[in-house]
Amino acid sequence: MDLLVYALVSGVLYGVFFALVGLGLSLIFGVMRVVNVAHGDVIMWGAFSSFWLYTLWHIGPVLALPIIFVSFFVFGCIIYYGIVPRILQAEDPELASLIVFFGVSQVLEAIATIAFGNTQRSLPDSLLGGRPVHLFGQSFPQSWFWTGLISAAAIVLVYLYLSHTRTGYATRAIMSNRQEAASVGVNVSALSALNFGIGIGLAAIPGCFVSFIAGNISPDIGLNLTVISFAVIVVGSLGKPLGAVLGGLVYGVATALMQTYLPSWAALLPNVLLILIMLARPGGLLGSEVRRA
Amino acid sequence: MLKSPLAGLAVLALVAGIFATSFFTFSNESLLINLMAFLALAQGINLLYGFTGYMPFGYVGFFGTGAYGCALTILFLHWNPIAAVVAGGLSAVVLGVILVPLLRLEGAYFGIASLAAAQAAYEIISNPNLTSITQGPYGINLGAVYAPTTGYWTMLGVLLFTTAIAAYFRISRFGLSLMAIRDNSNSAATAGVNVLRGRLIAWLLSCFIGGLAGGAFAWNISFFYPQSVFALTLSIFPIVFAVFGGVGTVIGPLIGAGLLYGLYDAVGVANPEYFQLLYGLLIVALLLFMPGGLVSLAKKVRIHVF
Amino acid sequence: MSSESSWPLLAVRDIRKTFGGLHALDGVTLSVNEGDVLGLIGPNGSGKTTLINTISGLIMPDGGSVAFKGHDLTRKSPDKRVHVGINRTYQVPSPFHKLTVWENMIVAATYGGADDVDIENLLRRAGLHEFKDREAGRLNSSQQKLLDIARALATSPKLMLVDEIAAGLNPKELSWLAEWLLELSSAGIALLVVEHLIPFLQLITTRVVVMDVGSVIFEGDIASATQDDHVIEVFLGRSK
Ligand SMILES: Nc1ncnc2c1ncn2[C@@H]1O[C@H](COP(=O)(O)OP(=O)(O)OP(=O)(O)O)[C@@H](O)[C@H]1O
Ligand SMILES: [Mg+2]
Repeated sequence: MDLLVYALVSGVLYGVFFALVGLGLSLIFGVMRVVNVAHGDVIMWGAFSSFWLYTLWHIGPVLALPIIFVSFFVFGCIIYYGIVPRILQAEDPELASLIVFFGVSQVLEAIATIAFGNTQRSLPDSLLGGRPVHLFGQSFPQSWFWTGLISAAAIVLVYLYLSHTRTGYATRAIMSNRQEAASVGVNVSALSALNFGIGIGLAAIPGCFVSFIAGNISPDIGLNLTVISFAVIVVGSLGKPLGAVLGGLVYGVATALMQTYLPSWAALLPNVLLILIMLARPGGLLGSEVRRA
Repeated sequence: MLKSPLAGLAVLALVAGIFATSFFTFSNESLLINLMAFLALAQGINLLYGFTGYMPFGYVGFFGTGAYGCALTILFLHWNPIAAVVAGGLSAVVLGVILVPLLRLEGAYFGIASLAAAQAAYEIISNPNLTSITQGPYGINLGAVYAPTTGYWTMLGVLLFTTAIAAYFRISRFGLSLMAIRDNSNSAATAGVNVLRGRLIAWLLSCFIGGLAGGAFAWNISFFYPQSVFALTLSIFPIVFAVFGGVGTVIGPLIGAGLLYGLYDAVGVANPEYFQLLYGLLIVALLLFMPGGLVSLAKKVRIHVF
Repeated sequence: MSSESSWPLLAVRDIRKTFGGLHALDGVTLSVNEGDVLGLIGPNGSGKTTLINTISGLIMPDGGSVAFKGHDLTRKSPDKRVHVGINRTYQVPSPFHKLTVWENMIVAATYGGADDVDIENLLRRAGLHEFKDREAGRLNSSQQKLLDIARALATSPKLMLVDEIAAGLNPKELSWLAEWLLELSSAGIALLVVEHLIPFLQLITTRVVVMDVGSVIFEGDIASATQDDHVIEVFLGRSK
């Protein structure tokens, strides 16, 4: 019973965090059908940025957030203009984007390995609270609560952006139909760049907390994070940013339960979940109801 | 109108000739083994991606499964290693059969799901709970059956088999029907092609080849860890090789793998991250600027590429 | 089983298909007899292409049946249907882009179940012979439509489903195409022709079926269709 309570509470906290992990990927896919398999590596870079900001200048993860978001936003815009328009001209843009960003992910991981070495690093837990929190007779690291809280705040901001700003409306118009949005005068290209930047910025933010959730960071965590992100947004239906919240919670609770009851098989979870969900609803992923033939 | 079988025989003879003479003239056997494994993997990926349009990022899953399938039949069933290599291929086919539902997914989704499947296969095989069967994370030792000469020829056999299949795809009407499915599966169906059957054959053959390569590799290096036969680079390198040379042809992946692996070896294996960087950049540049690979340059000047 | 001739060539009964909540086909029944040339008209989104997709097997219906010469095909795969003699063209022309025109034909001739197909001749008839070594993706869209027809013919069909072949062709091409279709009809191939261009339909047939929102609302000759109140309302009374 105690174990179950522990698993559920930590699962919900993880879940909010994982929702944020998937959010940027979902936004980018939703707006331009680009499959950013370098997503996890951007998160990894976010994690290292936060690590170095603290190590070099004692800037803690919370203070680091705006700095990191803005720099990754700019980085995202640059990548967008360098790569995406060309991809969108390919015969099969989704597959082309997959392969190209696979290359990008390799580049990001390689540079991180060259620059930081293949060692594990971590930020002290005291940076986010320190003393454990007692809840329902269990004790949890305080950093998990801060992580959950800040993730939730970031998600709410994205929600407000999409639902209460003019740019957000236009973004949703592009998501539902690119051609139609263009024909009613939405500047599709500029908005795609903007949202790509936001998506990359959003990927970097959870990076600041990876060290607290996973214990440490290293240049090779990108692939796993990418698979997790896909599991999250596929559960919540790819391309619908707020579906990531549902996906994050499902994934978070499932992970916590696995870690509690079947720890040695927990690493299988994102992979198997991803495959099963994709198979269960290939239509939901593709946005069209049937696959002919 | 179809391409001549002679071209296929010529390529086979060339590959056989090069590696047979290298065996006697070139002392670095492990380099040759790696090169042949990469050639076979690149060709196996070509069979799938070039002829059916599915991009298997998780191709290494079949290589790793083949390595383990081969090793475990040697360790537990005491099979002759050559038979065990075939068993490795078949164990990859079994994995392929389990993963058949993935073929329902389109382009990008298939790629991601195959990657997840390879990761899952790795997590299972390397799991400490299965140590009594797979040795878990502790690796496999095949030192007792190590036989460099037969091992070498077996690897060459795998490569030749792979090349022959690619040549068959290239010259046969069956291969043409696969490319028709790739271009438009609905039209292929209404041209009378059994789409499911075509995809299944190509998929399982490709799995088989990945597994054979893994099995032959395992036997030849004789000691390995799960992470060394499930390393993602074993997917990435051959994908780059195949795309660089040009998919949908027989010689494209061979040329791509030969040139790039040569480069890789010339610069030295000491710093894998520099190669990761280089190959990452190559993938991006190729897809953006030369999606047809090297052979597309030849096509531009109207040279027919086999 | 009684002799084949007592059955209609194609019998579609009460076909239903929904996409999400949308009833794309809401109980469609129709038949095509040997030698028929039947027009199928209806506003955009009325379900014509979906009907062709269910007859050719690319879409499995939620209910109802499709029979060919009395044999039930409802659950058969598209390639099996090709082998019994059903083929089609596509509203959006769908060649194998990376294959040459010739290779496109080879695939159909090899797998379509027909014996000794004269590809040369078919390509000549389609006016594509001089392009036979060109990649099909590099043909213009009218040429791709003609290739669709030629490729379907390479499987020796007894029934051809033609989906909006006329759109985008010039008047000269249209009359030439009508002639070709009539020639196929007199060679014994039944035709079900989806078409927006009524004048083009009139060149090849007098009989039409009219569909609206997933149902057949009229069956008869074109002249009386243009007098029918329901048909007029469907075509004129609603803005497209
Ligand atoms: N694969 C699909 N998924 C979801 N909805 C579909 C699908 N195919 C067709 N529809 C919907 O079913 C309805 C019927 O479409 P269909 O293409 O059959 O119409 P149509 O009569 O051929 O129209 P048009 O004259 O424009 O070609 C439309 O509302 C269409 O949006
Ligand atoms: Mg239509």
